[in-house]
Amino acid sequence: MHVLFVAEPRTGGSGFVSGLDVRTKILLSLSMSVAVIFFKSCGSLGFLTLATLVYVLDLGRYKVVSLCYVAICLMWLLSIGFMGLICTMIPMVPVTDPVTMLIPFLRTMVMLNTVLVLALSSRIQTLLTSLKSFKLPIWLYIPSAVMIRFIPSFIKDIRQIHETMRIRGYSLNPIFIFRHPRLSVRLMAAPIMFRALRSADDLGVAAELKGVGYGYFTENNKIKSYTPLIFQLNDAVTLGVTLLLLIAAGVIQAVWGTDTTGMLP
Amino acid sequence: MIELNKVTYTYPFQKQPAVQNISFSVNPGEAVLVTGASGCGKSTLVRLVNGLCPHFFLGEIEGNIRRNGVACQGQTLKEISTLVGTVFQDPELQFFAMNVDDEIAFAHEWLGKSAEQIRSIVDKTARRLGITEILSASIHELSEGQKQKVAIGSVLSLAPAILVLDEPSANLDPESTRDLARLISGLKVRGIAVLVADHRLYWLEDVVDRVLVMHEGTIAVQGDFSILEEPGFKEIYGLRSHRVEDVRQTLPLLPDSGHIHVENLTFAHKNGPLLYENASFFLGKGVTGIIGDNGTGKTTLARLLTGLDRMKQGKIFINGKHIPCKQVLKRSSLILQNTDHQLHMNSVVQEIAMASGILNPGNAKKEGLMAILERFGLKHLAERHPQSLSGGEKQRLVIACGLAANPDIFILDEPTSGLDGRNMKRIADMIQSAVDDGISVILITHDLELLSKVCDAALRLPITTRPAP
Repeated sequence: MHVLFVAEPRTGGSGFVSGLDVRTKILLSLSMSVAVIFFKSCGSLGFLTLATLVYVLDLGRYKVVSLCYVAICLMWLLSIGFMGLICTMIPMVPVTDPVTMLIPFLRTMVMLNTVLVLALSSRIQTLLTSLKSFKLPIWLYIPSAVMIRFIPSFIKDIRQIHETMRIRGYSLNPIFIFRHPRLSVRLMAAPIMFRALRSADDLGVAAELKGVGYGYFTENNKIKSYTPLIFQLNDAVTLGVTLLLLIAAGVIQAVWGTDTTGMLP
Repeated sequence: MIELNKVTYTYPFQKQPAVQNISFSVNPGEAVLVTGASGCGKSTLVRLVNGLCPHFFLGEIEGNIRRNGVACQGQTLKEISTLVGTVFQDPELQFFAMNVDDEIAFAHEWLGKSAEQIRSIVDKTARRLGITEILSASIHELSEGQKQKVAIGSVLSLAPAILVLDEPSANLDPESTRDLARLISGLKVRGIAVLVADHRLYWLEDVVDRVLVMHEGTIAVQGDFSILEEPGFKEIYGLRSHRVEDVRQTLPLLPDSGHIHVENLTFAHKNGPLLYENASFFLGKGVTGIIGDNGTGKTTLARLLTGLDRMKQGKIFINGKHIPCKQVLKRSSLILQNTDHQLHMNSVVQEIAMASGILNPGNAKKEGLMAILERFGLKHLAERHPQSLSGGEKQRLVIACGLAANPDIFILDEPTSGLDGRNMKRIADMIQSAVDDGISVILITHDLELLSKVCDAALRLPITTRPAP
């Protein structure tokens, strides 16, 4: 028995979001990912972050979500720190205020919220069938599905590595990170990298031995999910609400948005 | 039927072949055991049979492999996978789905079968393996024995002619291992050719028809199970014992005094029933095995004794002194089964330094670290990258790291899983060395051979409540 393999929450759950059709979750994830490219004001992106946060919290995986948010906030604080350092060393570089620097991280949070829902509440085969129903080529949808399947294993690895560090007496608190930045990166990054490589290899072997892609190349070219895809009223409501949220975010951007950072000028 | 005829295989970028001139066959209804010391070529042999070598790992192959009379040339891995089912040491690594029923259904969905057909296959497989009640469970909630059954069920549902089991008993308790032996015997009756690669031998005596002992990439000896009884045989080939005594019921109870005292331990998981209620016990300076069925809280007890989880109520005393929960973590060491999570640094010596709390080892300190490495037979590996070591070497390194911190309580979780006889003996020696230093060692293991070698007492779960003295 693995000491750290304590019982985990079930994949999915029984909430509103878990019951949605995978195609709805994919469409929602895609539309949000495209929207965050065009929205560039803190108000509109903050609004979408809050809306998608409600969506992901319905899964009940509060710890995973908060850990992701803590990691993103840390990256934001680091970027503010480094920006300040650059401005001090090279005075000609204009000072960027922290709120403006938050914008790329808000984009990340919106995408993170929607992808986490997809990863933590979807059957892998349903996901594959759904991606296929969008007429995507096999070389695109199998790796996409494997990447999404990889997220729960990755979360589990991070949890185990964190506990291993606690056992060894190392705690990745801000003081330790400040005093030993290289060691902090190594303590976390080295095992994650090796585990990720090994997990990727294991999943590749598992996929091959289970004949993934076998049906695709046979004459009938049928890949069926034994849990049928059913588009229900909840899905229509969710997509409708998503559209309304995007319009609302657009209005916020048009009325109050003055920021000009991001991918567009 | 499996037939290998003069097969030699070399991995990419390697000069030496991993296996050479291998010839053997497994007939329908026959079970064959492949064993040998770590690095002898067992895993490569398994990969040759299931087609991962050369289809997945590439490399060069000579000789002929026939599966069910079909030559390997021209067969794709996907075609081979319909003939050969493979179950790995850690079945979780081969689960592609996240739930039991999805896992069994997964390969059938790819074969384009209808939803009704798949549902019927899933139900039939679950009934055959007795896993109906866990069909909707998440794979992470299962015990190791249940995972093994799900993996075998998922493979058998495809009706393969050949079944390959790679280290199937490594993570199983003795009862699940017995179930597995019965299952293999049943498969033989159904005409399936079974190839088992394993270090643990005792459970296969009445199951396998032949034994292949591998040594340095070749089949050194083959014959029936009785070849393992020859004097000195297992020492020559680094094998484990072929007969093992089950000491779980005969090990002495915990002592009435000892340098670790746990008083009134009470704990329950969030929203769960009480797992321990006012449990008190002493641990002496020796090796204590935690023994109990799945779900009795072996894992939780280890986490509580290392301070990873907090007790709801209760105290831990070391040498009569009460140690607050936060401090327990500093006075204890826990060695996990998965070594990958526990290796962080660039070299073996740096790993030991980090575990000793030395962040910048100078020359003087380095001498001390080298002394630790020498004590555990790791000095010659001092400059190697920890992730480049073999499984046995990694396990010895993480144990050395745990001991380098001078803990009062040293807990090992399945330290010999997947290790050969030679490495198991080395680990047993390390445990004995920790005991000689006055450390309380706690062992969580299903390895009967290790239990009988090193254990002095047993902590049987569930703990019977007894008042604190």
